[in-house]
Amino acid sequence: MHLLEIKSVNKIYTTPEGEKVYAVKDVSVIADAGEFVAILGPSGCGKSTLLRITAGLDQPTTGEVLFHGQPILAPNPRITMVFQNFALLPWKTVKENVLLALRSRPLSDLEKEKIADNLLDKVGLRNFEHHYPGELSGGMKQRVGIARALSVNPEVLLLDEPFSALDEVTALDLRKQLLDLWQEKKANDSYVLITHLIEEAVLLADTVYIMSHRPGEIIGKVRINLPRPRFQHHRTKRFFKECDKIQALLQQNTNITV
Amino acid sequence: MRQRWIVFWTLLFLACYSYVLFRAWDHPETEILPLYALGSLSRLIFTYLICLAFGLTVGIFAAMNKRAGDIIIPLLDILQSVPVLGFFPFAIIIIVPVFGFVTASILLLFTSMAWSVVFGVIAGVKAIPQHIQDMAAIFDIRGWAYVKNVVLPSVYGPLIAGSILAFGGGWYFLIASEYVSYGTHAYTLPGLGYYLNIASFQYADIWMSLAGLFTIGLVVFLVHRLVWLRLDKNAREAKFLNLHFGYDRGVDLPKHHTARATHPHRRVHFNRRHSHQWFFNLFKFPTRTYVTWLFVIALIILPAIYFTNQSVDISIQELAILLLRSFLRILFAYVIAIIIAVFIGYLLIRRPETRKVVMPLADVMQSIPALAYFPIIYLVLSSFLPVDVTLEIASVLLLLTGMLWYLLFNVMEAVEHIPEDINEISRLYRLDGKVYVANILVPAMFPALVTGSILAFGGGWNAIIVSEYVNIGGHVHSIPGIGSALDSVAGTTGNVATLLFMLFGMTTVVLLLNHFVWRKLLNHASKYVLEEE
Repeated sequence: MHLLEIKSVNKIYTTPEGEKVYAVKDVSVIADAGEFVAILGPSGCGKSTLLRITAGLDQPTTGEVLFHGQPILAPNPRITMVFQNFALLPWKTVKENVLLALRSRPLSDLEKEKIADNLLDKVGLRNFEHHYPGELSGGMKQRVGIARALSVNPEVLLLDEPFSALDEVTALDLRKQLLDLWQEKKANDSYVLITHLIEEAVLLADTVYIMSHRPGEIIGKVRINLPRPRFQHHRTKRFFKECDKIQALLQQNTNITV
Repeated sequence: MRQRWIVFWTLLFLACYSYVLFRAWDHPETEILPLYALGSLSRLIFTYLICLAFGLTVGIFAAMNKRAGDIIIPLLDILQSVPVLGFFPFAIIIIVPVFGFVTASILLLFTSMAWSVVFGVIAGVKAIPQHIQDMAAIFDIRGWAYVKNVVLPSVYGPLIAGSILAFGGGWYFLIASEYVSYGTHAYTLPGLGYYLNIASFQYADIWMSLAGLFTIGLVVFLVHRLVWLRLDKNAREAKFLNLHFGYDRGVDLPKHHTARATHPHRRVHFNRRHSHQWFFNLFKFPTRTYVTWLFVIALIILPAIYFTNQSVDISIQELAILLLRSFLRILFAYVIAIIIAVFIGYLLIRRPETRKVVMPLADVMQSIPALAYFPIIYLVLSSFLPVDVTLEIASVLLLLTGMLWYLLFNVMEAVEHIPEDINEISRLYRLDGKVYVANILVPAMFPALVTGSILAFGGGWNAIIVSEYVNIGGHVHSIPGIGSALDSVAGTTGNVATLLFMLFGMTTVVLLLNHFVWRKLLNHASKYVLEEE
């Protein structure tokens, strides 16, 4: 049994003119325990819809998403998400934002505080816990987002283009930090990343699923066999060879990627 | 430098104020002027608290429950565009005998204040972006926790903005609601509106009128400065604003994150990016819903006319002519108002330094409810003009002062928010003079002019009710129109059927205009909204 299995999911919208549009078409993705999966595709190919379905925020028209073999019908406490736009509440401090995520966990206040402190420490925001998001840079905000997501100790972490709102230098730094955090846990957690950047997918993932634009369907799957820790192999010949492989797959579909 | 001017103006005001009070002291009412102020203010605050409770519960419910919202929001829109003052004569005849005048006046005050509050709340909830809602679902923040941690803070800013509008509208109606006289009977409540009305219509004393006007101005100004501006400033703090700005903007938040956007009444301070958008989206419900509600209202009013067992003593043609007369009066005032507003908008762009004069002046002037001018305008003009001419001029002036601010504030806001790059383009390509006005200025102001016009016309229909009719010591002067017709029916025959019929006619005209003229323009205007990015 796989930890997470997206099984022939279709999401169909009806336009006001009565036309049926596939946002996601017959997508199947598997994420095993301890695996880092990336779903790569151009903007608007339905990959965010797919992620929202995986999180239980939206329901597929047909098909299903299985978590430990059970279909996901609503958000699950063991599956969590890092948002593209951070999704921090501006009127709560950094620490309050993290604590709010722990609200419904069966823990004492003291334990919750400890978890929050520990994670904020890990992402290097110890001294900013009483700041408001508005006072932080984008990179720092996303660190809060990551700390918040990890605080609930998820088995599946969904990452919705988590670095696309950041400049490249900051993004690179955060990618490294994310990998470190994932590696450090050594647990059987699986990460599912949505991205439109080939290099980001190759740097982070074990398996890259490639989606096309309209309808959003899987056009290929590439296993990245670069050894870990990855950062040492960043921008090597092997690294770019993997990138080229994906590039070629996307190229074949340029007629539909627009 | 600035401080010196503030001291100067304050001293000047106090000097004039004391002189006016001194001259008005002959009348025993002047002595208890502070009590009148307190009376008005406490009635206003009491009604506001009811509005707040209503706005939060209904607003949050309508905005969070899609099915309920589809029904409630169009109804709220219809209710807010109905000229409330038109229902005054009706309320006097129906509610006063049963519940008394205080209840009637508070109920009417409520109908003038509640909509801004409830629409503020709805706007706040609707502005919560999808990713925040997703986040709450992911981390299991539901029910009361969601309301407390997400909804209420997002509502805070728009709620304050809506409350400022509500208070503006409230002062306006308060003036009208404290002294209502039909025929030989006068219904009064102790307050500034009462003082002002007896000053002009009973004593015909200009000093007393001025004392009332100054006092109203002072109270309104102080409440605005000491309460609302502070709360508003608080609501504009970074932590309440950047819900939508997830992207990397670093520590240096843009200074003009906010805009006073458009709103069913006057102006609302909002997150720029969503401000116009929510206004356009909020009122984009299908014609079907709208027509259904109109039917429901007709189904209530028409049988009600039947059950009064009275005959409607006005024909449809007569009613149509009255409505047309009033409409033309409003239109005339509107044309003048829009010319002034556009001209000032042009001045502000061409000579930005005029802003320093226009802004504070407009801020002070708009805080005095237009109805407060009416008795004074009437008193001054009638001293040297025939009554009919006086009333005609006074009525247009009242309409004008009521309408101008809606247009002016919207235009000023639009001018202020023409993005820098658009101005740069016009400089780069040397677009000036007529080309600039036609291609940049007017399109840039267009959404603001449309929304301002909707609000101005709404205010106009309200003001028309009280501006066509005065009752001086039992002696009635009026000019023909729907407003005077409503007032005189209430004052003479008290024929409820006729009143209902006229109200139904007026409401229908207002709603049809809204739906077929303004909404079309609004849809068109939504294409002109400048995005700030």
